[in-house]
Amino acid sequence: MQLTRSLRLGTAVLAACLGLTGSSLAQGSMEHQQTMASMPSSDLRVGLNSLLKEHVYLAAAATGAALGGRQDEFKSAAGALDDNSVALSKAIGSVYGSDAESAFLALWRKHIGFFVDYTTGVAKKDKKAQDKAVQDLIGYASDFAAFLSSANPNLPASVVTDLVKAHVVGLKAAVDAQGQKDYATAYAKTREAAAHMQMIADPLADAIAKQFPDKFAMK
Amino acid sequence: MKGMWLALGALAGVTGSPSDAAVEVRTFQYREKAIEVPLGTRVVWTNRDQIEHTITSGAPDSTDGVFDAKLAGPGATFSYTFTKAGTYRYFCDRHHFMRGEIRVTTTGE
Repeated sequence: MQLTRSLRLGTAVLAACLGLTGSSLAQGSMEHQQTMASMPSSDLRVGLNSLLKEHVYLAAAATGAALGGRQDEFKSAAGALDDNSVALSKAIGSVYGSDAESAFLALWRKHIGFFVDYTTGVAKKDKKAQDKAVQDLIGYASDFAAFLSSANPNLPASVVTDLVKAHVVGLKAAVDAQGQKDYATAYAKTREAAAHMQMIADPLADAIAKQFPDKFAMK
Repeated sequence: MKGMWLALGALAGVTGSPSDAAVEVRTFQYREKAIEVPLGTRVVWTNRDQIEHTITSGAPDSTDGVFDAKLAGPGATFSYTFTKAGTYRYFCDRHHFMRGEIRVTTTGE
């Protein structure tokens, strides 16, 4: 419950600090609406951290439900995960424009698809399918890094690639534990993977603030 | 004598070479996504991303073989001269969501 509240607040803060007005991002975000120029970069950092950590928890919820055979729960988790993807893309779009938003969303959904492939491989104990999905995810890390680096020269592609690979490895460990019904490890790995997202969110927020100093005041 | 003819040709707007149009590949997008050019135009694509993209004619589920080029990394270019009017759709074979379109018109259209 606390987590949900915190995630909603984080999404609302991000929406506000990026100047979003759409209702799809988060209920109740209107109270947090401010102009971008008045927002400190720390709020951008908090918002991105919240969304990216939410991504991990929802992804783990979806893979856990899928591996546990809980179809209804899986559908709901997958839907919430996609809502999170859309919220992230809107955040990117508010800074870099609608075309970048569309490209980001397509790219982001791609890695979720690869994780679905991996989870399916785990469920079917299909090592070949798992290996293929891991290769796709590693390739995706370079793609995603290239996207961010192109959008923001303050983000070196090689650094982002390594951070995304670490994200992939972390979430993979959680899915592996879920597949083995080792739930203690699964939750521990999920928390580790969520904590790691700060390694992506912080540099991303700092790079955006540096790129647009007029929009995000350094406080 | 030859110089005089060249000068006259330039005055008349005749350069003897096709004009160029440029499309940048940046942040996983073709910019501009859709362009309209006159017949005979050479379109030059330049990759600005730090990743390989392709310029592949058609659509992911129906390539048409008109052109298919890899742009290996930043600065890589590909050009194609359009000698037939029509609408040419293209995409990136590595990132299917990347789509572009060249509309080639005959003079005066």
